[in-house]
Amino acid sequence: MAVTTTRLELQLPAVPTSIRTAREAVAEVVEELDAGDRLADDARLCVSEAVTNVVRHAYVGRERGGFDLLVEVDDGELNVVVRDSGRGTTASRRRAGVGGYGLKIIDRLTRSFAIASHPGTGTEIRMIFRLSPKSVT
Amino acid sequence: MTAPASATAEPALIRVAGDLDLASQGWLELRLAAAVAEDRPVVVDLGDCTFADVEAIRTLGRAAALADERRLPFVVVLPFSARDGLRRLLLELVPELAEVAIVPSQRAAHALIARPAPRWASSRKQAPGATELRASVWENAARGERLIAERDALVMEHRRTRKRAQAVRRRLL
Repeated sequence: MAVTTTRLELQLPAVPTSIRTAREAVAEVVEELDAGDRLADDARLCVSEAVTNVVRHAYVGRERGGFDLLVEVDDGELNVVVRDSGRGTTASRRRAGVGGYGLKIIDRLTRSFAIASHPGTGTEIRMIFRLSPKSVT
Repeated sequence: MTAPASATAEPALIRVAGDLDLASQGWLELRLAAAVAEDRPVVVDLGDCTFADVEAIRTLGRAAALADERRLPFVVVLPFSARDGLRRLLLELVPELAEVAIVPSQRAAHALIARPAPRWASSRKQAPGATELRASVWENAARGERLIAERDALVMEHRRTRKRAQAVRRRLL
């Protein structure tokens, strides 16, 4: 039976310097799992894009808040969650290009990703990467 | 069509060290805008760049398009020692950079800029397979650079060994 292990839980302020902190923290987890340089690079870029969207868009027109970063290992997969409590996003806003290029890259580099958001209640992006068999613990 | 005189001027060099993300975005935009405004060829050296996000690469693409409009050469240096993630981002993942010259060393950048009839016109179209072809061109050039570096290291090692041998011989005599 698959067991979900939490490898990282961080709360960070939604400011530009947090982007680096977030991506390096996730890359460190991937390196600890010995999951390969490629996955570390992919995760680094995807986390950077997701957190950049939070910093740029989540708290526009409201008091700047923070975001949660969560990394779990589950059944051969690495789940990375970035969750803010900002203004939320809509499919039409995403279609209009808000965070669009970053999401395209996330779509290409992850096994799958999902965005859960409602206007006014924040946004959660969940990115799933495949771990190679030797790194599953 | 010949390039304007300014295209043959000494290139403006932008060296990037560290990470390119939202925190350094303003710096990158300013440096690129200033370099293009100087009406000189632009060389962006990513030799010490440890990370770049999509927006940074798109910013390079926009600056290259601006340089192209002014018929100025715009060359990105991505050394063979670059992180694999950075290499893939530049060569494969961001289409805005598909028409930008990417070479593995400053030496190659200067050689490219010094070509007698550079085609820096804005009419270049991306042919099918161009991205793959460009990636393999960069890899071949990178391999060439690596071989040159290995040769240089071997020559240095050979010289050191010869000096040591001479010193030993002097002591024996």
